[in-house]
Amino acid sequence: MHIHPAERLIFLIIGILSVANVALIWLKDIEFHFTGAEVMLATAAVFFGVSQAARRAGRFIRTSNVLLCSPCSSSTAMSAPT
Amino acid sequence: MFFLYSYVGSNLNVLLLPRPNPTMDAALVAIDARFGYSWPDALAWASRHPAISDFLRNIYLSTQTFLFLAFIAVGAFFDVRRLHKLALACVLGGLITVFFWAFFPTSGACAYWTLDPKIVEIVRPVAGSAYGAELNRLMAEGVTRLDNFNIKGLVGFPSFHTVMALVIIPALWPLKALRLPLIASGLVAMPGILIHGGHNLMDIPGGIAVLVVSWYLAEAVLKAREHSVQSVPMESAQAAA
Repeated sequence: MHIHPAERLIFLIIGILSVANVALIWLKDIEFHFTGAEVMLATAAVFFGVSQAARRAGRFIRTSNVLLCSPCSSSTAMSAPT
Repeated sequence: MFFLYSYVGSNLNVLLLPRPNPTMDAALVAIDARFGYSWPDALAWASRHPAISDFLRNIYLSTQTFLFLAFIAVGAFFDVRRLHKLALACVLGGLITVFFWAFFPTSGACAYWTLDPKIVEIVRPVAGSAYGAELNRLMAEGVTRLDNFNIKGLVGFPSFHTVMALVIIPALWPLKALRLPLIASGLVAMPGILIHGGHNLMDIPGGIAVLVVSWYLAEAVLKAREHSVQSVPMESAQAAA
């Protein structure tokens, strides 16, 4: 999934504000009840975070060959098994 | 994404209550008086023209719908960059508004004046004296629960409603056929913000200033981000060479 730098910046702002919100709720001991909409938003945020982390992990694995030895990860070895 | 930001931003606004510093409403009311404006007089005028008042209330309550339609129109007629610029301008405008309010709190004219009940009955302002009294209480006591979403807005100066009502003008400006209707809708929204939003007159120029700053800031941020994205492959190519 490609995310435009501007969208990434807005997500970053949303993330920072969310952390600030949680900190203020905790510091001020404010009673907070989750509604259906909030659970949905939190689920979407977690899904987005996990998908981004998976994407970055996948890119790291592909570029650094940490899981595959170099002969096995080469295209020749994959396409022409002996 | 923008609605997610609105949710998080409005929660932050509520969580910043109470404000320890005194509100600037009295000073803004005094400045308004120099320009010959007072909120009770504006509502008295609106009570003599109930049809106009109802029309202005509908316009005031439709601001977010117009903004939503503007997002769709920008997405349909322009490239994604302009859509991002509009979203960024709204996000930055919201941040500037909330942080300015955090240091210089205001609740608007509705928290300063107490209206004649007869006028309230006719005009039925969206943010009337009763709402202003609730704002004064929140400003002093803060909130203990975060499940009350009947809060229509906390910030007086600068008016974020002005930002939302007017940001559609620069966003859709290249569409020449829409220029006049956009300007007209912006002009009509202003008395609605004053009468039904319970704002001081000075809140509107404050909102316009926030809009101008956030629009140019959004452009600057976009250029900087695009420049950094373009320079990364060049740097890596140079390193490889």
